[in-house]
Amino acid sequence: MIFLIILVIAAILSLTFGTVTITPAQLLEIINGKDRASTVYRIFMYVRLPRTVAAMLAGSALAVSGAMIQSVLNNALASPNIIGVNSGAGFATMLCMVLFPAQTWLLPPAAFVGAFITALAVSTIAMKINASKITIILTGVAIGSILTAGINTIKEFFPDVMVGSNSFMVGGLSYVTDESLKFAGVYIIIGLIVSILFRSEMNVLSLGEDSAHSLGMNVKAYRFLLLMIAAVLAGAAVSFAGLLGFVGLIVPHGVRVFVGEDNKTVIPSCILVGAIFVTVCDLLARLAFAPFELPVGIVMSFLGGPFFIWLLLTKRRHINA
Amino acid sequence: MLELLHLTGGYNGEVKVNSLSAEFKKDEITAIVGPNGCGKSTLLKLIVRLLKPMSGKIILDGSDVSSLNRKESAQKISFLPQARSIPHMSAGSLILHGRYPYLSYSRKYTKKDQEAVENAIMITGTEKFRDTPMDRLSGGERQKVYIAMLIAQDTEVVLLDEPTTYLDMNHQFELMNIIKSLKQQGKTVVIVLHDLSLALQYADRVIVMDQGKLTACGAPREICLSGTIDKVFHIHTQRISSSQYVFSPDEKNGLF
Repeated sequence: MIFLIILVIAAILSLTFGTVTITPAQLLEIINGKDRASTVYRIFMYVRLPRTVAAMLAGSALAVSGAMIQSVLNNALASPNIIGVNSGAGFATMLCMVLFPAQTWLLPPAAFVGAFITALAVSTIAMKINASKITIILTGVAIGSILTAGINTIKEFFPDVMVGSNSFMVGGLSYVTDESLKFAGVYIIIGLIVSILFRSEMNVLSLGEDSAHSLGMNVKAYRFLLLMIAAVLAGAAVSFAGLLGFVGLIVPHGVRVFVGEDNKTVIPSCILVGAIFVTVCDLLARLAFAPFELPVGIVMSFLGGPFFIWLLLTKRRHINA
Repeated sequence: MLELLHLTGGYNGEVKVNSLSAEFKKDEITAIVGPNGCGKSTLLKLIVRLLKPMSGKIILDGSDVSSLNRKESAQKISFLPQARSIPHMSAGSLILHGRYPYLSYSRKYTKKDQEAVENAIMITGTEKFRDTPMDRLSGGERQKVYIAMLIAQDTEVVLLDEPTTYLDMNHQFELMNIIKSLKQQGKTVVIVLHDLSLALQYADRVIVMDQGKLTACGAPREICLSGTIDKVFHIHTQRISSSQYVFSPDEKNGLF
C-alpha cells in the first residue's frame, strides 16, 4: 500500500517537473481537456506522459524479470543484465533497426526473441553441465559479453542506426515515443499479469528441483515458462529504454529486505518499487543538470549503487548469495 | 503396498539399478542400505519418477504408477531428497508447500490443508520455529521442518534419502522417532540410510543393495545373521542386544 502511494507521488512529480514545470493547476486543466492547443498541453501529452509511463513500465518489467530469473535459477546474483538477457535483447533490437529501420512494432518481439534465446542458452548450458550457482553467472557473463561485442560491432558499422545509441547503451528514456511504447507496453502488461498468476509456482520452484518435482510440479515446463515471461518483460523494456542494468538486480533484493522472501508479496512489490525507482531516477536525470539531461541509467547507477551497498552493509543477512 | 518389478534405470545410459524387484509394506519402515554408489538413491528417484525407468514397473496398491499424473502421484508418494539448497522462506511456509499437490487453481488453502499442516507441526514439534527463516535453523531443526512438509503432504508412501546424515546423534534419534510415528499412522516408509546401526535399530525390514542389485532383504536380525552386511561392506557385525549392533573392521579380508 505504502509503495502504491509513493508511486502515485513519484508519477505526479515526474509529470510536473522537467525543463518546463507544469503547475498543479495546469495539470488539472490538461486532465479536463481544456485548451488542447497550448504548449503545456503538448509537452504533457507528447513528452511527459509517455516518458513517465515508459519509466514505470521499464522499472516494473525489469524488476519483476530480475525477481523471476533469480527464483528460477535459484541464484541471488542472477538478473537480466548480469546473465546477458539484456544484451541479448539489445543486440536483437539493434539488429532489427539495421535490417528493418521503419518497423517500430517489430522491436519488442525482436527484443523478446533475443532475450529469450539468451536466457534459454544460459539455463540450458547450466543444466547440462550441472552448474553451480557461480558457474551459471559465469556462463551468463560470457554469453553477455559476446552479445555486447555484437552490439558494438553494429554500432561501428552502422553509426547512424539510431539516434542516441549512447543513451541506449546505458539506458535512457529521452527517445521514447508513444508509438514505441504502445507495442512494448502491451507485452509488459501481459507479462506482469502472468507473473502475478504464477508467483506461487516460483515459491515451489525455490524448494529445489527434486522437491518441486515430488510435490507434483512439472519443473521443466514451469522453468521454461517463467524464463519466457522474464524474457518478454526484459526484452520489451530494453526495446524502448535501452540497456537499463541495475533495476533487475537491486530492486528484487531491496524489496526482499523489506517484505520478506515470499514471492506472493515480492512480485507485486517489485512491480511497484521498480516503477518508483526508475521514475524517481528519471526525474533526477532530467532535473540534476537542467536543461541538460542525463540518461537515466547513469543516475540509476549513481543512486542505486550506494543504496545497494548500504543494504549489503546493514541488512546483509537478508541477501543470501 | 509398493512393489517394484524388475526395475532398471540410471543416468545418461549408465545402469545404476539393475532389474530390481522388491516389496515395501504398509505400517513398516524399510531401510535400504548398501555401499556408496550401489544405486540406493537412484532407486528412490526412480520410484518418485525423477528418473524414467529404462524397464520394469512400479506398482502401488495394484496399479502402475506410470498411469498417474503428476498431481496424483504427488498425493500418493512423497520424497525427501538428500542434497538441497536452503530455500529463502520461513519454516511455516515451507511446511505449507506440502499441500501443493492438493491445491486447486485458485491456490486457496482449505480447512483440510490447514489441519494437515497443524498436525504435521504438532508431530514434529516445529511450532516454535514456524516464523523463522529456514537459513537461520540448525541442520537438525531444518530436517524436522522438511519432515513436517512431507507429513503435511500426507502420502501413503514416504521416501527419505539419508535424512540423518550430518546430524548430531541426539537429532538423529529424534528424527528417527518422528519417522517411526509415520509408520504408526499406516504409511509405507522407505528410507535410505548410511548409518547401519540406525537402520538395524529402527527398520522393520532391511534391503541390502550392492552394484544396483538387491542382495538381501529381511528383518534386521535375519540380515545380520545371514552375513550379507559383512560381505557387502567388508566389516564384521555383532549383535549385542535385541536392536543394538557393534561393527568392527573385517580383519580376515586384510583391508585394514
